[in-house]
Amino acid sequence: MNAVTYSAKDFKTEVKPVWCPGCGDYAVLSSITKAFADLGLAPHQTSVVSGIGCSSRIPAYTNTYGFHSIHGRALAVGQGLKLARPDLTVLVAGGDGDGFSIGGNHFMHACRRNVDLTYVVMDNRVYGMTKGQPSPTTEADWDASAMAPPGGTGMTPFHPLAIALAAGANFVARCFSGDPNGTAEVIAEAIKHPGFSFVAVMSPCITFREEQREWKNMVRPAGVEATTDAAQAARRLMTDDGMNMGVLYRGNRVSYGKEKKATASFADLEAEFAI
Amino acid sequence: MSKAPDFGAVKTSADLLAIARVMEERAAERYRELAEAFEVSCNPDTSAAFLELAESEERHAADFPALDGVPPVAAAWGEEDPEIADPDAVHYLMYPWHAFDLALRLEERAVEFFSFFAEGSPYAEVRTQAARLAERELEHVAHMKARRDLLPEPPADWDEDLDPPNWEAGD
Repeated sequence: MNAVTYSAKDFKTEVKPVWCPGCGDYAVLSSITKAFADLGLAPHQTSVVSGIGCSSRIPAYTNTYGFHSIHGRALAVGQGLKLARPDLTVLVAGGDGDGFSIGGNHFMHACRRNVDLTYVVMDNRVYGMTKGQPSPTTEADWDASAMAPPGGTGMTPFHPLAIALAAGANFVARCFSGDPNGTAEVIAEAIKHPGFSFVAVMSPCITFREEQREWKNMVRPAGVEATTDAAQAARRLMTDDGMNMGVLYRGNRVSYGKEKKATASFADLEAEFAI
Repeated sequence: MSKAPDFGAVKTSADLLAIARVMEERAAERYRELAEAFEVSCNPDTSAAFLELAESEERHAADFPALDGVPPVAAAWGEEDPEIADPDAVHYLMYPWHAFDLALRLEERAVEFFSFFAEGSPYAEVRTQAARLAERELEHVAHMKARRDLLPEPPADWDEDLDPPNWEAGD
């Protein structure tokens, strides 16, 4: 805890977001900054790393260390940052296309590796920045955009929470951007939880998926306590309708790197590179 | 997803005034965000309307004692602040009339919120203060309605975009 306390506003920059009016990402930005403030963190103790896409613009809007990195590689950058600077709170953020398609491989292996960071995905089931193509989480029959194939992609939507759990993520939660205070609480808990924490936020894109305005009438609290049993969490995830919100799984794996001990001094390592 | 206000968390008149101040500040912040969003979206008239609303809420907030940090009872009303504009309630083509209409509905929610305490709080001083605040919010409702009605109502096809960002398949 810092002697000086910071408010959510202190974690925002003066840069104006270019998101569409009504975009769910505004609320997620507020939730992230509120979570940092509620945890008593200072801007210089936090970092936000992203990839590419609408939601990935978020480092520009957060007054923290930041890295607007390359498409699908935010987790690679975020893990490297956390391992180099374990004292920093590292939050990686992005969208469903960036995280599950271009970055799908990094996503699975970041879950396995279990580095102590928080991954917030603003999932709107569409590529918004490039004007409405189906993403990995888009429904198989969605073809309301001319950018989608007639009849939809015909592909089963990616199930990010189940995949995160199966791949070894240590904390799995689902939130809705329309509940910014609840989302802030979950993000704060995810940050505190050791290891790789995955928070999937349903964040409507009302420009390309106007029907997602209805999500606010569809979501509900999960109504069950989060489990520490991965098998039970898997059963719940595979049988719910995707509208249950809250923390769904809290694992107890030890974070990557915690058990490793240095086997050489910095001077020894430096000597190996001497020419 | 909202929880009911927590009567037990608001024991004094000062607690309630702190909540009122936070509500006004957060409403101002959200209106300012919307003003910026509409400015970026090339809808300057609606941007100006939200800016006017933000400045109005800032004046309302200044009517209450300044807070020293975040009040412990800030979340007493549950997960959603009654006076915060729902970002999902906006549309990129909306008119200034819609902005004031949205604000009118939010002021009405604030009346409901304080009336709830005025009728249900177990603490007499909270009930008295809440009744005063509900009266105050009623004035805001009347003002907002008058402000909205100064403007022409939008046409029926106000949200029709002849150059839509997402044209439908088959268009």
